[in-house]
Amino acid sequence: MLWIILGYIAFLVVFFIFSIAAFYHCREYGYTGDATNLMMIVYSLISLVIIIGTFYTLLFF
Amino acid sequence: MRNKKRLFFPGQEKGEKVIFFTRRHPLSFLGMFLFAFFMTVLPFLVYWVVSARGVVELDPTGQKVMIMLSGTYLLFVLGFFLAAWIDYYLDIMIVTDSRIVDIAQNVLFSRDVAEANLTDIEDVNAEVRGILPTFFHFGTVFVQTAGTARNFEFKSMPDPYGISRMIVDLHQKSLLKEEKREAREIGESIASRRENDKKEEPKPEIKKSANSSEEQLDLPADATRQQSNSLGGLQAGGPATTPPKVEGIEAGLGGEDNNSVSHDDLKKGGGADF
Repeated sequence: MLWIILGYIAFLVVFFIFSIAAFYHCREYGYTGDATNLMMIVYSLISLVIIIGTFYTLLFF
Repeated sequence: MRNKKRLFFPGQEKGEKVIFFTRRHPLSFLGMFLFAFFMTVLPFLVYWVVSARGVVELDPTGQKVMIMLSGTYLLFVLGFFLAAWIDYYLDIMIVTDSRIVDIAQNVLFSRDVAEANLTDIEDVNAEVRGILPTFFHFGTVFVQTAGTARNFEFKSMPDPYGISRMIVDLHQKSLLKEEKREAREIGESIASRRENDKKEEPKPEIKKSANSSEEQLDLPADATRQQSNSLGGLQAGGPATTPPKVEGIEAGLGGEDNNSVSHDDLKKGGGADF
């Protein structure tokens, strides 16, 4: 079980790095007033919901 | 990002005016959107079917593993969707008053920026092919350029016929602008040459004689001769004679010179009518 949790955390680290790279592209090559900011917010919210939901389910169910 | 407040797009020159800016039609992203949606919904559908029929029953550890795998899968699909969206959203076509810019974002860490002057454009084609493009008016615009400049292919552009017409119009305008600029430069060079010629001509000096108040012109030899010729009749005291007529002078100098550039023309911004 511990190995699976560690594997999940390692995946989260990779996912975090990927998200930083994607956000960099949105900020660097996006344009004023376009939908990149909205997309970054929506993406962050959905990611947080999935990650928190996963840990919450693991710990309390 | 730092230049975004001042410039519309990276690489924009000072004074360059953006006339047209577009990205691919949203329906071109529909396939990717549906795919991501299907991939998101699929595990829930499978879980619902399996649990409803009671095919597999997991112990608590197995359930926790399944939850973590589901979280991983959903994050993976989300990341895939974001990368596809960036690929779609950052593909941009920009037409300014002087050039055409094609920015192609190929997922992450691969970006291709190509540009060509509007004067270099040789041919513009628009193509609408397929059911969705026909109904929703989007298609491919091909721009062929002269020389070694690369050709452009803008896929899934909304209103491709309108875009191609607009590019052709801008191309013609830029050609006229270029011709006008060249004519103005030639006109300015002619005008400056004439001014230099005028400066090189010796000016007549006015001398005041010490004894009397009469003014005497000190002219060069040629000018004195010309003056004496033209005033010959008056000096002799006889009837005024007509000055000798020289062929070609009236036609060449006295007549209207179509190719000359006056200062009024230069002020208007135009050059000679070549």
